[in-house]
Amino acid sequence: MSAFDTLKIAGSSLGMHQTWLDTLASNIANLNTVTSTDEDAFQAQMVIAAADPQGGVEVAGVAVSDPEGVLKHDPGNPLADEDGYVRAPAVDMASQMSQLIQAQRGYQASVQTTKYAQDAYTSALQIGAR
Amino acid sequence: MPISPVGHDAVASVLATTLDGLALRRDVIADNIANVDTPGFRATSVDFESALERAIDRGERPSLEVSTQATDTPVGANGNNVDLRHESMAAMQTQYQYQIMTRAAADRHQLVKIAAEAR
Repeated sequence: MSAFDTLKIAGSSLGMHQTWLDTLASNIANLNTVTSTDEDAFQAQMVIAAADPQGGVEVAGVAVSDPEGVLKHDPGNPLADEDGYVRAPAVDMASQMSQLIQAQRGYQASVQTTKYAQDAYTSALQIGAR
Repeated sequence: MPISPVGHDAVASVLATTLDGLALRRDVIADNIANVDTPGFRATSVDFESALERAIDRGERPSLEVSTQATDTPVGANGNNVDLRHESMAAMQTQYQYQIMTRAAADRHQLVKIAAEAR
């Protein structure tokens, strides 16, 4: 716990949560992206967070959803196979939206942390100023 | 080592130790908050006041003696036990304590300056 620094820690958190928010946005944008049944479905990305031993958090990796996706019956779709099926992503709106709220809360909490750090550094500068 | 009236400013030393302890606590709270969504992460907390109090009671020169322990908050579904509400309140409290202590340090500095200029 030697290289601890509030701004560095909060910054790593902002970065991780930003990456998470970005992948969620991309997942949500592609929720209705369907493909033909002989192609892979859109693969939603899931950010894997891990604690940094130096303090803070980092993106340890990105997992992707099943390329099998789910088969949807949509005979009117130009991509549908002869049985009327298309391949849709194996993710749902509710889980993406609840993660979006979670990621936003985490981001906001760390913004507040950077404000505290700024205020603390400013007040420390006042010690010899008068 | 007993505090000697000459050559060692006990108040300044207590102030400095407290500021260092609060800064470390701020880092640890920031780390807990940064890992609020990290699977398996366990929150920690910092105690420096106990050691500081003992040093003051015994008339020893205070130094930053910190003990860090895992918090006993219940662990959630993903193995993480960060309580964001608790950490936010602790962050705010630490912040105000830090500002009060910097004010005290500034006032102390001013006193020493006045005393030095009075000769």
